[in-house]
Amino acid sequence: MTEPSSRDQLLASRLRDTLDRSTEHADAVVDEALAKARARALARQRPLRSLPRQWVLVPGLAVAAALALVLILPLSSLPHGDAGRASGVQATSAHAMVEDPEMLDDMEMLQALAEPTNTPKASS
Amino acid sequence: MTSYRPAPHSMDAFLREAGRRAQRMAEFATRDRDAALDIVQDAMISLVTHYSDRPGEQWGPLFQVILQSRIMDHHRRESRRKKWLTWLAAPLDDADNDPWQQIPDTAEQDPVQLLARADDIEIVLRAVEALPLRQQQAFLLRAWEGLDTAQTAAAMSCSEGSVKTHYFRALAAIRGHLQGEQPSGEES
Repeated sequence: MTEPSSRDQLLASRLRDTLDRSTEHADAVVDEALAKARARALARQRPLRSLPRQWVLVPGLAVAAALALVLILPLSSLPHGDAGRASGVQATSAHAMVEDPEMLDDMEMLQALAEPTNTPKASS
Repeated sequence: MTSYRPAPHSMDAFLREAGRRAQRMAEFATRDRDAALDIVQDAMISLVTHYSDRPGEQWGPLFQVILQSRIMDHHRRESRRKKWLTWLAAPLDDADNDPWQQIPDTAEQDPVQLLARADDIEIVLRAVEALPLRQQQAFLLRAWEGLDTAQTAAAMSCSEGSVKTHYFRALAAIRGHLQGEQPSGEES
């Protein structure tokens, strides 16, 4: 009962063509209103397309902030003040003394030069 | 019946083509041009906002789901409003609302004359407008939009069996209407 016969299909096809023709003669007021409705609808499409860019931007900023923290934190975690600088100088000096024989000679020469000036003071 | 509407190449082209049919459908259902335009605009915005990233061949069925939902919402609002307005009025004759009562006798038919009347825009528009809402929806979605039974059932939020029944009754009613009508050119 509910299956359309070939007679029904022929009638439906003819009706479809007639309805299609009916929309070709829509009046100007309806056409204008539909054009405005279409424009309003399509205006909603643009924010949707820019949405992925926003979602890329936010995690991108987060990654950049994390990298900056990783780079800045080790520097800021170094000891501050004279003690830190002194230890740095000491380490550098010790390293140089071990590695550079010329420096050792220079040091010995400076010590030798310093001894005569210190001895009279100590004796006096 | 297979879908005969080609897949649109852009949302703009789809809305341009489907918009006119949607407006006609909504006007059939509401019999109010302004309300129909509001419904179509609402459906267009909803489609673009939620489904513009879907493939083009899905836009038609999705648009119809939204459109038919908006049409039913409009009818519910109107029913509630009329219920209060006609609270004290005389009750309607139920026979007028019975779809079976609206199907004319189709015992005698001249197929050539019937198809000639089916070519007449004014007669066809009157015949479709006279259909009860659910029959009208089933007929327009199946015959005009080219949706299959399952897609029509989804758009109408009912079973496929109901779609077949509504469609069959709609065709019978239109056939009867066409038989009783005089072509526009022959009207005195």
